[in-house]
Formats: sequence, C-alpha cells, structure tokens
Amino acid sequence: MQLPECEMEQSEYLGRMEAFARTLTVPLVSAAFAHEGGIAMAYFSKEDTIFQKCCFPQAGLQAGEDVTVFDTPLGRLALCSGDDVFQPQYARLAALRGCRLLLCSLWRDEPGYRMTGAWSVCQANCLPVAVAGQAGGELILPCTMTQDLSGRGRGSFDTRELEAAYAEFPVFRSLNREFYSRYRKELGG
Amino acid sequence: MRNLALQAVAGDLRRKLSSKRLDHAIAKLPPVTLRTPRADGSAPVTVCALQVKAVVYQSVDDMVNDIDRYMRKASDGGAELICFPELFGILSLGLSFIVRGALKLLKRSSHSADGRDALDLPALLEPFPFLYESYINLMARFACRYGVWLSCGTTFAVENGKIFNRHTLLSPQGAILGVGDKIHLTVDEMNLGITAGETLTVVPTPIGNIALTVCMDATYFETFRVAKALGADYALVPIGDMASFDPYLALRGAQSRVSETNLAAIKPALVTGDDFPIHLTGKAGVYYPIGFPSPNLEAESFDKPDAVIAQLDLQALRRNPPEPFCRANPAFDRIYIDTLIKKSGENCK
Repeated sequence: MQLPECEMEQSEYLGRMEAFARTLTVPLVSAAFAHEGGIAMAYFSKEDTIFQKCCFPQAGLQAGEDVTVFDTPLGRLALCSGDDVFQPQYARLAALRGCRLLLCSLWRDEPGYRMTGAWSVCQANCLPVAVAGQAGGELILPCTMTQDLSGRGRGSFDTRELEAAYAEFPVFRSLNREFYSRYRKELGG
Repeated sequence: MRNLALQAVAGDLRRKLSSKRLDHAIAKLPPVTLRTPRADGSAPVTVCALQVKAVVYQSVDDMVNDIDRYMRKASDGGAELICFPELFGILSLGLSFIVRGALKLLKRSSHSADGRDALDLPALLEPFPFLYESYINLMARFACRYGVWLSCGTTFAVENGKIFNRHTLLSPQGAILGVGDKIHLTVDEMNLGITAGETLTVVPTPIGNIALTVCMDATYFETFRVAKALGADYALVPIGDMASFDPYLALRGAQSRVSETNLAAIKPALVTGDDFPIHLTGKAGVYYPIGFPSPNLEAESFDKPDAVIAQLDLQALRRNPPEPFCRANPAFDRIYIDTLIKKSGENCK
C-alpha cells in the first residue's frame, strides 16, 4: 500500500514530535494543525510518519479525500481530526478497511458532543476510539467491553475482547448491499 | 400433522379476524370524539410513541379493547399520529388456542425462546397470507374511529414464499399511505428466514414527511441518511428489542442517528412481562438532534405500558442548523459508498 507522502510543516511542534517519537520509540499522534489551506494531523513512530488531512472541514478550507488505514505493531489504525468524527461515513470507511483503533483529535468538545460523535461511531462500527480534546482524553470502547456498558472508563483493551464484543453485536452482518446500491446517490455516490 | 395443525390455526384465525367479527367487536366500544385531521404542518404536530405490553389475547374482544385503551390514552393526550411497536401485529396469532398452547410449551421449554432455534418461518407462515391484510383492516378501523394518522408498527407480510417484517402507515381515513419492510435484519431474523427489504419509504403528509423504518434500521446511519436525502422530517422506528434494557445499549440506535442526520425519531416499543415466552424491553421515546430546543422524552419504565406524547415543531426542525454534522465531500463519499457496497457483499469482519 502506497502511503501519502508526508509534507512536514516546518514547525517546531511537528519537528519535536517527530524527534520524540524517534528517540523514545513511542508512537505519538499530533493534534490537528493548519496545513495547505486545510487541517491535518499526523502519526509519528520510529518506523513511519503518517499524515491525514481532515476530510470534512468547515466551509472555505481545503479537504482531504480519503482516510488512510495503516498497519502498526499495535494494529491497524486511522487518524480523525476536527469534525470528521461527526460525519459517520468517515469512521465507517475506516472500519470497513480493517481499522481497529481510531485516533481522534477533537476541537469541538462541548457536553454531549463526545457521545454523539466519538461514542456513536465507536458503537456503530464496533471500533475503539481514542479521543483527545478539551474535555480530556479517553478510550471509548464498544459497550459490552466495560462492566457498566458505558464503553468508557478503561485505558486499554485486548483484541480478543473486541472480537467478543463484535460477536455480541455483529454490526456488519446486517449490512444490506441491495439497499445501499439502490440509494447510492442519496448516500453520496 | 404439522400442516394439518397450521391449516386449522389458519382457518380459526381467518374466522376470528373476519371483517364481520371485527366490526362486531368495535361496535361494542364506547363512543369517542372524532378528531378532524389537520391540513398542513404549520403548527406543531402532536405525536405519540406507545409502549405496548405484549399480551396473549384470549378473544377478539380482548384484543380490540386493549388496542382501544392505547388509542384512547394517546388521543386524550392530543396525539394526531399514534405509533404502535414492532411485531405488535403478530399478537393476533394468539387468538388461536393452538398457538396459545404452543406458546405455553415454548415458555416451559428448556430451549431459549429467543429465535435462535431452527424455525422455518416462511414454511410456518405459508398458510397465513391473510395475516397482514387482516391486521391492517383492524387498525384501519381504529384510524377512522379516532381520525388520526396511525403507524401500525409491524407485522409479518407473506408474499411469494417470503416473509417481510412490514411497517405500515395509515391515513385518518384508514387508507395505506406507505409500507416499509425492515432493511437491516438481526442475525436471528436472518436465521428465521425473514427477507430484508430494499427500499425506504418516505411518506409526505400534512403532519410532515415521514420515513418508515424498523428497529435495527436505526443502528445504521445509512438508513437515516437516505431518509433525509429523500426529504424526511422524522423517522418512525418501532422496536421489539430482545436485549435486556440498558440506557447505553439503547443509545446505539435512534438517539444517535437523529443528531447525525438532523431528523427527529419516534420510537414505540413492544415490552413483555414474565408471562410471555420472549423477553422484550423498551423504552419508547421521541428524540431530537443535539441542541434542538425540545428535550428528548422517554417512557418512565422499560417494561410497563406507556404513551410518550410530544410536540414536533416541523418548522423548527427544518430550520435547525445541522452543524457540525451533515457535511458532504463528494470525492470521499464516492469512495465510502463504493467500499460499503463491495464489503456488504463480502460479509466483512
């Protein structure tokens, strides 16, 4: 798979993140930053630098056209910045491509929006979402992976647990190809 | 032997659900004040999501009286649109003493009565093609009696050897305005041989443009996105939820979809007690997009009869700003839909 070439902003922030990731061998994910008339975020590790443009920015900003799902020792990941988390097709496409953890940098984090955005796409796709925002950071999991069924409150998960959660709520088993084909135009195709 | 039993049940039900019997039962009901249906949606619309307790009816009179109780409660609350839950229409099967006996056996059985047993539902329901029409005829009488738009919830429709979980909307004159077959089936429904629908119906009415969905359809934002694109103001989502009630599990459906698509949703629910062989929980409710001035309303309990009555301000809904949701990116959306269609055929994950 050909990953997009990372055009690094000549900024101290990104330079430092890259340096930290390489030196400390801990993957780092940036917050969203301005880039080429739009918004982007980046993943840095010792092996890779992955760059993801925001695909649904506010009007007037340049938009990306796809979500990159990339392989890491932690599994298949994808990045999600800005308001992309509020467009359910974004996480859906990532999940359909095998994403197992969505890394979200939020800037809209008023009460209620984390549930209607990150939590909602997590449940809709059985896709863990790691969120960083003004209201703090957390890991959001499919409901049945937490004791109180909230999907919140844990700091880690095991892929076997994720498989068990999917078995309890196999969301992709009920997809209806004929329906989506019929309404391709209405769904944006 | 089984076929003989099924034919006997079919004959029994055909007699009990005949127009003559239904007219006779309804004629015994106390009089009601007939509402004059409105002509347009300029003023807020009063809607009712019923939470209905499933009962094994012993007689046509019992069934008619029970329906009338719910209708009266909703109508007394001013409801112009009254919504019954998923699978409410199949309760008429209990009018047959053979079915009642089978349900008792099912309840006592050591097997789990959750649909996972290997039932060939299309074969079982083959002698009952009249079931759908009989149920709609019954509910049409109630729509006319109260002068309201009436969502019948769902019942099984038998067509050409296929079974659909069918949602029907009636006019205040008792005419069928639209039908919607459940599009996203549960694994249990697939195992039972139910056929998924392929079209989404949005019905234009003086009380708004109404999308007819069913239960699991609200788990998939695609349903609501199509409904919005087809001009819907709100979606009806009758449920018959076999999961034990939990507020977080319930949030996985309509409550999440309304914000993503700037629609409202009305969710009636079928619930059961310990005397029923299948466990179903609520809650019924009416839900709005985040930030909308009207609060979400829900039934007080997850297992008792209730009527959730709300005012839908269609003008406010249509003016409601969808941000930060509902943004489009044609290039991205094309890739997404192509991938979705491809993966749907692969039974992915």
